[in-house]
Amino acid sequence: MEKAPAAPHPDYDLLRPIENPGKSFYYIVAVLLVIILYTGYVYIRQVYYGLGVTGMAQPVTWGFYIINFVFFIGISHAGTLISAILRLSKAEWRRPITRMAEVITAIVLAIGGLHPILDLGRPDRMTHLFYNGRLQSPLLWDIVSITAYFTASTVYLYIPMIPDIAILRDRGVKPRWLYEFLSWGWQGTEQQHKVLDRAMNILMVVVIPIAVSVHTIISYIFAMTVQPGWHSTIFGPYFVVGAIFSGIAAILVLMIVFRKIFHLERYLKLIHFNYLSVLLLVMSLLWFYFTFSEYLTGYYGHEPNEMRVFWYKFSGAFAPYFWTMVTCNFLLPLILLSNRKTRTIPGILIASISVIIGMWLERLIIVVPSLANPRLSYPTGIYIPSHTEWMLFLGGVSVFILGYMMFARFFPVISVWEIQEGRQESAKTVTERITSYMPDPEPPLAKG
Amino acid sequence: MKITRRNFLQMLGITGIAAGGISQVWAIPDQWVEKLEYGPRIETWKMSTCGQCPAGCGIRLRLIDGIPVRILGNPIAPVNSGFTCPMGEAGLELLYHPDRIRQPMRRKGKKGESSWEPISWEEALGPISQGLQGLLKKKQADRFGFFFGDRNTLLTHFAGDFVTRMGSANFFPWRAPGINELGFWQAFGEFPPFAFDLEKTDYLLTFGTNLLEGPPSPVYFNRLYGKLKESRPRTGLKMVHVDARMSQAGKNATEWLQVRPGSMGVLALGMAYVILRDKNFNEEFIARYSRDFRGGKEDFPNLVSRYYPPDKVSAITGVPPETLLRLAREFSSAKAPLALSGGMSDRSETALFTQWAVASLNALSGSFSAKGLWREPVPLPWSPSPVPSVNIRTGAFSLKPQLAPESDLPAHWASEELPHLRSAGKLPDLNMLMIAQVDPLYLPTDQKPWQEWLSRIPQVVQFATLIDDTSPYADLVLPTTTYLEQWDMTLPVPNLPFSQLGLQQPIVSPLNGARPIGDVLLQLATEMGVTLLPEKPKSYAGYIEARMKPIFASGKGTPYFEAVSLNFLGELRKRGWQVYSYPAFADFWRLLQEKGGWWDPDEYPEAEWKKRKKFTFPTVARFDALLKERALLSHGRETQKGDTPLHTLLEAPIRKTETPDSFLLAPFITLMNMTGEGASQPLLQEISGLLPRVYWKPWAEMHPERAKRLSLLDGDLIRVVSGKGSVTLRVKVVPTVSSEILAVPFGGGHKESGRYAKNIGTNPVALIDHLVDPLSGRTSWQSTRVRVEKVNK
Amino acid sequence: MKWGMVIDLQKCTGCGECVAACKLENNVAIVEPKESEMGRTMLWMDMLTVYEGEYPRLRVRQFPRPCMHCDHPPCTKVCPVRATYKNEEGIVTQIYPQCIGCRYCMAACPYTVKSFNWYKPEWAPGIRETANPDVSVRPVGVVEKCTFCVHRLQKAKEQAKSEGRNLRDGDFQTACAESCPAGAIVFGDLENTSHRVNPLSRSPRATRLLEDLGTEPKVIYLKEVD
Repeated sequence: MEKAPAAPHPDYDLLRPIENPGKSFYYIVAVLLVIILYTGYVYIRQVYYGLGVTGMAQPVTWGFYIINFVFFIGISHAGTLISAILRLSKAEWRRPITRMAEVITAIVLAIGGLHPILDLGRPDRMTHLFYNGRLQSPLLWDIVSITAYFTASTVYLYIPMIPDIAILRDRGVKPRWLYEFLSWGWQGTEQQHKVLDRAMNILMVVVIPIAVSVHTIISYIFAMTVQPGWHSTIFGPYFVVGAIFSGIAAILVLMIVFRKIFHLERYLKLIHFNYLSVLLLVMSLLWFYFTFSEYLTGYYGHEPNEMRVFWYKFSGAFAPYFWTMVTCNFLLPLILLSNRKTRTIPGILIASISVIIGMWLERLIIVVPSLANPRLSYPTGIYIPSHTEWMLFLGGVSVFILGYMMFARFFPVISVWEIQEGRQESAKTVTERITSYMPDPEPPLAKG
Repeated sequence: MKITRRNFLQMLGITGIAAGGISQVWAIPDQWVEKLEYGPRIETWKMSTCGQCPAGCGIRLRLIDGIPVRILGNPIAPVNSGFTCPMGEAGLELLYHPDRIRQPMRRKGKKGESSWEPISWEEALGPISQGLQGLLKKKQADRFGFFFGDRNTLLTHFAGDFVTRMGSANFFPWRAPGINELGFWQAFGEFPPFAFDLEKTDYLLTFGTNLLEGPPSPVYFNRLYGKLKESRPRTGLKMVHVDARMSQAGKNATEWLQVRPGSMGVLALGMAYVILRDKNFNEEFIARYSRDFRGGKEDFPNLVSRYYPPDKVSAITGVPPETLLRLAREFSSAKAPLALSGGMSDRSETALFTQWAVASLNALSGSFSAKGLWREPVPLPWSPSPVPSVNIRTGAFSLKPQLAPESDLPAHWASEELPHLRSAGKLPDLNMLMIAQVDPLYLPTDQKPWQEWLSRIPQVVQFATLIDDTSPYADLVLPTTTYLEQWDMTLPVPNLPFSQLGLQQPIVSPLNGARPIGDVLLQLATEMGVTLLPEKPKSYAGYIEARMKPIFASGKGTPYFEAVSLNFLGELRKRGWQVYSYPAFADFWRLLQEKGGWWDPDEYPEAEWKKRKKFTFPTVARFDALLKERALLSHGRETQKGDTPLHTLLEAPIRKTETPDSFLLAPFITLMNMTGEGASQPLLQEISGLLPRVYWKPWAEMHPERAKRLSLLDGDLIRVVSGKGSVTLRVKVVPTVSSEILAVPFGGGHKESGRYAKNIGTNPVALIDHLVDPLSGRTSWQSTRVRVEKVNK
Repeated sequence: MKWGMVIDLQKCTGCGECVAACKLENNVAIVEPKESEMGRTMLWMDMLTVYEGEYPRLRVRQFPRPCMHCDHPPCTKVCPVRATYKNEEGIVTQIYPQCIGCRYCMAACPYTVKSFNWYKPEWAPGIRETANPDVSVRPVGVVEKCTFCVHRLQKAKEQAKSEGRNLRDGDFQTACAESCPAGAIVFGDLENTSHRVNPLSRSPRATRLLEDLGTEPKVIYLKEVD
């Protein structure tokens, strides 16, 4: 074991996990690796035998892979989008949150982005997308937008990390070469700070439309078909809202977990949870508003095929999932978060987890019922995910946890320099800013 | 390196690829490369006749480099005019079935065990001919029997000949009776039944007769139904289908009438009541060509008016009285009404009762006087073939020149009852039984007695292409050829208004090790010193050829010809023209092979009633007499109860359902699978549930109301329990069955029959009580009461 | 040229021969029982049933359902790799070697006509020999569907060319049209007045499935009138 660097640091709490990972870290990593290796085996088996090993069939030709694709990409909106909005709106309380959120984005996007490949019947022909790609296909738009989002969000994660990496480098944390390489020669000069600020500002502005576009385009995969339950104009904003909704829930869960494990109570204070959970509540209401409009229009249109899907969700085979979703996404968060007494850490944790489950169910409810109820007089389709699909879901989640752990192992999950900056400057800047909001003092009366 | 076909093809492939590479440089023509890669790909066509069912459709095979790749209809075959049914299409799967036996197989274990030891043909035939010789020596030829699936080909006659020439009477043919066969036989006392021309009727009433999904010829009738349906809006043809289940016949009719299973005869007599009441019956026919219509107290009107008034009929059948009235009036006022019974209505305890009643309905209405509706089959220019019959008093089977209606029944009606006749002591103990072209252990409702009977016979020899459900009870299974590898001749289809002979010829050389049944029988006969053939040809093919000579000599008919106007041709032929010229028999025979068969373009003439025996109407006394006479078939079941008239006892099996979970089991056949014959072929297995969208496995059809009451959803698993056993099935909730029945298709649950059938699905026969129509000996499938339980997964 | 099909439901008896003929003509894989119970049965030509009314006025409508070969196919629009497209004669075809198996076209098809090769299609050795040599056997993981027997079009064209004439009505027939005993399925060039389908497609009984979607199917049904 390396010995802890001598120099004490005011935010040593944030650096401890990197300098002193502890044993349990390795146990968990081992468990996760086992799961991931097994998942790898399961996937190779799928490639070898074909998609027959899944539970998909006709007419339900899309299942877990597409559901998880939409779900993971949705979660990914946690990060970049939220942190960018918070940064852009100069919300000072964002400082301990942004990094965590951005990491979620980067990791989940990588996982989610791979899901369409899992779903391919012929992954060996993936390159056809480049040779013979048809830009008219929403699937191609997706590839473009996800790639763009992934690039932007990793850069957006990395750039604000440079000063922190430099701190680690300066503290002599191993592996040195990594930090030396990644810190990009950061010395903290004023010029460097200026450049960093500008880069962040540009990225902030760029990343927001990309993020919005990504989930809009994912909704287009569905909305561009004529299938009942999919062919809807509000799908774009509906998906974006859902994505941010699930993203916030994911951040909240992670914040609570890290707060507990790394004893970050000093950094992640109740006020942060309070603010974010109010945001979650707002998103929950917004989500409900979209859901309500979506189904009400469907119901009033009363188009027979639309209604078959509608009743399938409301009272048919998918009713348990549907009403669980409504409970998870709306009722439970509403009750827990609108009440000051239950808006505590456990309350918020429950609400967030329920939102994550609810949003996953929402993806399930969007993908499967429309496929299961074809327009012509076919029997209703049945979809029972197979072991392979569950494994790949579990594997995806494991990769996420492992990825996050590895990140937390090597980099601070809370931006150290931004906290420091906040300590040193934000009081002043906020005062200045608030003063600037105030009515100007009366102009001195002209003499005379 | 040994050059097998496979690596030869591989080599070809490699050369081909090499050539393909070179061709880029040297500009070798593409066709050459293709030829190297895939062979010359020469397409040839061969004509033959389908052997999947007895209908004898002409088929045209497409061969690529000598390998048949597709069966299509022979466009000039009169019965199918170039079309086939799914079963016909699937024939190649039978020919190339991966589980076909290629060597005679001797059973290793006890009877009932399916473990086999391949032996050579010499080893197999030796004991058979020894056994036969032994019987002949001991003058016990009667201890040899042959259970033979009659596919309506010459082979049936040949096998029958084989048995009789050996000196045995025990030839047991098996086939489904034709439409109207039971009733017309009872009413006219003659055989075969009339043919009819559906195009001449304006009111078709089918009592359970499903011409579209089963014998006599589904292709012919699907084609005809298409025509009739199209012209229906113009001609006003009404088609009413009476059955508990709306089969394809009901779906394509203009009206479907639900009745309780087994009660169709009661409905027909109820209609007769109305017709008699209205005095709207065919006076002329009745007066001149019938008997027992007016005979004092015990005549037909008496039977009808005493026992079948509308309210009572309505209570028995479940048909509302006003519907009954409407139906009777529509039927009797139609110009050319036609009532058909047969198909599944044969398979009830009231089979003969029903068909007789329906025949009477035809006699009452104007049907028999309608022009061109009923046709009299013209016998082929052959010496008449002997008719297999069973004596109802003694139970003895025999081949007779003609049936004697007083004491004989057609043998194929009662041949499912063999084990019972044996246990009643009416059959001799057999020392050797041959079984061919039929799987008697799959279908009978009394599997136990069959198994016991076959277990007691020391030498059971089965001819088969696949090990099937019967094989475990055979001592020896001889691999036989399919209809695509052998010679045969299909005979005219019963009920169709013209005659045709379809030639089956080998499309490919027989599978190594398999031999045609005809040739094996011929060889055995030669070893026995028995002459089977008039001119001593060396093979069964020679027999076929010899049988065609009288046809050629008669100058009647012609080999199939390209479709031209039939009337025009008829005119030409009357003036002595021939479509083809075939001065010598050799030319005729060559043309037959080229065209696929022979037919007579002149349709059968109208039935002439005065040449026939008089039509006998059913009466109370007649039923009494028949029941006593055929007591053998009622298995000791009570046929007399105080002074209740006997025929009412026939109505006893018309059962009602009582509790919410109780149903009447109504098995049915599908076009793809018939009664399990299609199960060995994967295509048919897969699409046999095409319409209800259940693939591979049988299902159970239930009325939505009943399903709701049992809280069953479409696709749920149910256990169907009868007094005899239980099976698990998937339920299909459809409005096409009456609320009293649970309809289950045949075809699943084979214990053997190759990999595509073995242990797939369930066999409804396992549920059916063994009940027999005491008048005809037909096994009933329709009066079993079952209970339904939901199965939780 | 615009190939199309007219299915006269007044003639159709629902025998299912078109389904069998299609499976054999196009080497459509037979899916084993366990798979087919999951809903993986592959039918390029399917038979659909609609129940109208209740007994005693129950009417059962059955109709064969090939691919509709829409003039505005929703499936080709979404294909990311141009593995399905409408050719210049109006036939919507699949290019099996190009398909990446994303199944987007299946999800987009309002008629649910497409099948997917969930496993490698397999035949018993003997039965494999009976495969139609004119039609390729699909590999695992690609989408397939009715092609209007486009392989026969090639042949018919070559034949006509070798005889130095244009295609006539009946030269190019799909397997289902050729095999329908009731003569309910007619196939031909919808734009050519000498083809039977042309007048039939303009019959007052003519209707198309899900017409309101604007997909303009080239399979035209003639309604049953009784």
